[in-house]
Amino acid sequence: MSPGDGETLALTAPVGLFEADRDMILRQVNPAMTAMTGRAPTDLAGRFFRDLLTRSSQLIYALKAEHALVGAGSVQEIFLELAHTDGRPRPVLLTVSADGDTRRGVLFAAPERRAYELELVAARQTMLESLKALESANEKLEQLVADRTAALAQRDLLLREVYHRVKNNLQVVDGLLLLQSRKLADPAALAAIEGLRKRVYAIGLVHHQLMGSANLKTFDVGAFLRDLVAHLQKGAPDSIALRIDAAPLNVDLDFAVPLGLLVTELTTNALKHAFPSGAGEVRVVLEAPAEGEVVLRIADNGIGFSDATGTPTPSLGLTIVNGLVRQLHGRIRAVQDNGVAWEARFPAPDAA
Amino acid sequence: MLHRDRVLIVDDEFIIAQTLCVYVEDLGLTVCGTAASADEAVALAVDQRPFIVLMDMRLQGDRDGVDASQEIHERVGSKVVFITGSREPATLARIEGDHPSAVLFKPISEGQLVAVIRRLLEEDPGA
Repeated sequence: MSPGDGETLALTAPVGLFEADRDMILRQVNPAMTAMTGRAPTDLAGRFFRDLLTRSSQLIYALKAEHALVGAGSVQEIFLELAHTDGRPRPVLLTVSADGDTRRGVLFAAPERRAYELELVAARQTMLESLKALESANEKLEQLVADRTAALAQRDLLLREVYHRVKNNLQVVDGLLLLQSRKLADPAALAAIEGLRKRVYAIGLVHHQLMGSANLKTFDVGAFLRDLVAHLQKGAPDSIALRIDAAPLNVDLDFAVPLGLLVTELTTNALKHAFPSGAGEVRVVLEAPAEGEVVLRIADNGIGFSDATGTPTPSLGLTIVNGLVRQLHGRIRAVQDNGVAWEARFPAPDAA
Repeated sequence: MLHRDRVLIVDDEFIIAQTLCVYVEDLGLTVCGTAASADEAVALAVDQRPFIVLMDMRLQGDRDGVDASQEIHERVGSKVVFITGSREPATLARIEGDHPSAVLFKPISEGQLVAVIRRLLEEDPGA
């Protein structure tokens, strides 16, 4: 075989080669075309290329190739099946290029291609089934989430209702104390009832904060202490100023109730004893560093302890203060420094 | 014409209603009635024409404080101070849509109530 002997190549090539006119009527074919179709060259010449295809491939040909072949005259790698005279279709890839009105085509045998296609169809089917299964599982999950969400909402509703009732009952207790106090004349008894009402108010305020809490469990102690101190201020003479400076700190019921009562006791105590002249300032400070202990300071600029050694006088208030500090696993001390300063330290609520 | 010295108290908790009575009387005002249901509240408001109504949200009967307040607002024109134990957004939205003169949250203190009543009397001196 000499270089450039195209004819030999065409005769021996393991691919079908043909030449057709612009309407894809075959003019010439090579021997491989005969092997692919089972038809002799003379039988092939003059036929429409389309007529060599199986019925379903004729449809694909019409959709994918015909328009391009009439126009630009070329197509590439169109998968078709030739209708062989032995009845067994031959899968092929069709590529055609144009040379004026002449169309030159090549048909590659593509037996594997059919298998791939079947595999693809099977894979697609499996995927669709998996998708359907996933969708069904997803629906079940969504239903489950909806059920759980509804249950949680119901729980939240009940919890809010409980806080509401507790708060309401505390308001009733407060009312009973008030009504009783109206029947009393003894200043000591009146003062004792007033003290009880302040403590009840502090506990009610904790429940009020809880009702507004997003998780119904914790809330910022700052807002709570500001409300509490504002309430204590209303019961104090205008000439005594209460100041509050609270760091942000999330607390729960178990921390907030004793803390609120502590602030109430120590502030009330300062109001009662520190300012015989009727004027001064009580400063409530809550420090909550990211690490370490929570520090509560309640300092007045009053006359200091009556006992020269700086020992506070025993009282119900003091008993309550010591007990609550113990409950919070903390410790407390009082110092005389331009008045009395109480400093209590507790483990942060999460660590308690 | 509303009676400036009259306050109507609406709360289905007797003790709480009594507490509010004490606060109001300490201010030198007159409690013109206490009601436990919306219907009672409306009837008393129409009859007594109080300048201020202290209104709880939860009442006896089918209608709540917002229903009572709405009718009193339309028929009498009293200033309604809501006193609620609820912080439910839905409840608060209903109250907000009902021309409240003020909203107080339980536990309320005498100081809070006195401040609100004084403000309402000062804001509308000619009523």
